[in-house]
Amino acid sequence: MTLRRLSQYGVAILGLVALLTASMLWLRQGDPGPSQRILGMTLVSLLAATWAVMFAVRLFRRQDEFGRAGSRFAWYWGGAFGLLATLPAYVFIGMGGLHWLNPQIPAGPELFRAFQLGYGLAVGGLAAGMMVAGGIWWLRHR
Amino acid sequence: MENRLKVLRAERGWSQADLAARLEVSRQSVNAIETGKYDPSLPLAFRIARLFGQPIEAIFSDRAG
Repeated sequence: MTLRRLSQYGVAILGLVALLTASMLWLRQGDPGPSQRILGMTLVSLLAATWAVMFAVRLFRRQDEFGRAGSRFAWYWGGAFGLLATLPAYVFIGMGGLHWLNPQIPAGPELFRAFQLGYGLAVGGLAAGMMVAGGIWWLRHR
Repeated sequence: MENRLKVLRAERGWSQADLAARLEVSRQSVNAIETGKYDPSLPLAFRIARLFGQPIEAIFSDRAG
């Protein structure tokens, strides 16, 4: 790995750490109200995601075709199998498997709905992103 | 695919890093191509052919063919 690429990773990580630290300080010392807290932290996460996307695009573009082939392989197979591997975990946890293993872990319909929403957001976002990217690729290469 | 990249490189006394710099790819790419673990794209194959001043088919050949 070249020094230039390492420094890019460094800038990317430092930026994220700075953003998170600033938001933590704002939450602790600014003492914002509930609505400000929700909107503020949503904005911070949007900035963090934009920052990460910016560097991900730069890093991908700087790779040569061999590196890109490796990235595609890792994301396609790793992403697809990782996604599928979450399905039994989703069912197990959704059915109250954690509570069954350890009765101290709470269970109930509200927790299940929250879990379902979190899982749906993560998996749905990934699946939607893959479909959009696939669609763009097909449109560009018609 | 098979290729003569290693032979051509050795004839010129270049290291993998030298060849990688000339082709503007990583040393790992050169190594993967030389060992037949990665087939380069057509644009890269043309760059390799131009660099060695030979037609593509003189450097790369299809195992099946």
